[in-house]
Amino acid sequence: MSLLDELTVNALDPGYQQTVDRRVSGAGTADQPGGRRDHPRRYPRRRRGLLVAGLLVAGLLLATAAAQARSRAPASAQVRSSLAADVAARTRDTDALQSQVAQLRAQVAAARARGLAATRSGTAMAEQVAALEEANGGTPLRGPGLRVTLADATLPTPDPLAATKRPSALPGDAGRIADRDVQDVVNALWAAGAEAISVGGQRLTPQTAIRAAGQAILVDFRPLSPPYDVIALGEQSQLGNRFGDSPTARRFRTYAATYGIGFTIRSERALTVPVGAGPPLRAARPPAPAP
Amino acid sequence: MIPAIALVLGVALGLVFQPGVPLWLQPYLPIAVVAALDALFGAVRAQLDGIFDDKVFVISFVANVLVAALVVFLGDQLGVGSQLSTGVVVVLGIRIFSNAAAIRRHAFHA
Repeated sequence: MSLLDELTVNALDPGYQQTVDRRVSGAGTADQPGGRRDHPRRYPRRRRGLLVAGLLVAGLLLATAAAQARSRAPASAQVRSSLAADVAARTRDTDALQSQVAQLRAQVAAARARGLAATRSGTAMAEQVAALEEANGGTPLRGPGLRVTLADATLPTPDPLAATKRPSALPGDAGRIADRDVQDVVNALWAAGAEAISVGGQRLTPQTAIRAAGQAILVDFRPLSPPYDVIALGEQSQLGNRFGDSPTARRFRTYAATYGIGFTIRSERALTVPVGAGPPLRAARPPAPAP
Repeated sequence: MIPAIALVLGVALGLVFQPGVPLWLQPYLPIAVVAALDALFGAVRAQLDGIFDDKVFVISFVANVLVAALVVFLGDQLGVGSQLSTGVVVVLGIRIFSNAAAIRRHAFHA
């Protein structure tokens, strides 16, 4: 307590009192003890200039700090919005390149089909290629299947155990769909006999990763926004029954009841999955065109 | 009267010209401002107490600002910058508050 006491008692800089005391004792004509209200009112001109300069600097400092504080907030907002615009532009670029890739792929496939159609072994090979491409996401596919939708909890998480004691350790994250949840659903769908799967419009190929960066879920390194639509093509009743009975689906139903996440399974007659991103070339380069 | 005009003039100059603050100085500006406010309130109280001295004011003003910034700078180098600035703000805040209370007693006799 003594620290606080001292702070409040000695709030005024002791220098003021000391100067007065010194002046009084120096003059030797103190009318009042303590030296109050007896100092000369008129200062020499030089001292007055000092005071004016000091106050000028003080005002300058205050105004500069105010201007600084005001200009800094919009600056950070500007940085944020320009970053967001950057992200949007890059996503658009990637989309355009993706569609270009799909076009070129279709051209390649057509040219290959023409080349292979000439011979009988070529026809067999073309069929094999087509089957492999369907399996690894090289062609868009359509057919019956399941649409599984996952969504973050909208309610503030009602935690039945901790509600009366204390807020749960991660209040914001309990009802949030994580990359592992999407992975579990996708694995359960493969296990149930899905023939092709897309997540949020991204086709899963053998090389697709479902990952998380911060709180965003990335499929094929492209960020998704909730709700997450998982489309699985396959024989409808078999896929629906097997996935509906899987431990994963049961677990998610429990989550939906407990935490209020969105979890719906719908059987649809006509679904499409897009073409997936091909394997990226890391080391190989096309040769220089022959002269 | 003239000192008050100087203060207002300083604020006006700062608002009009908006001098840029170098990046390395920006973390210390808020602390320096709190120290300056402390010196200003102390000066007003001393004036009302009748013991104001311009030399004491100017020296305490400059020294407060520099020392506050220096303390935070040292704290930054030692990795306790935010804690030290909290400490400085608490101490100066209490001083400003009790000086303001003294000014209020002078002004309203209550």
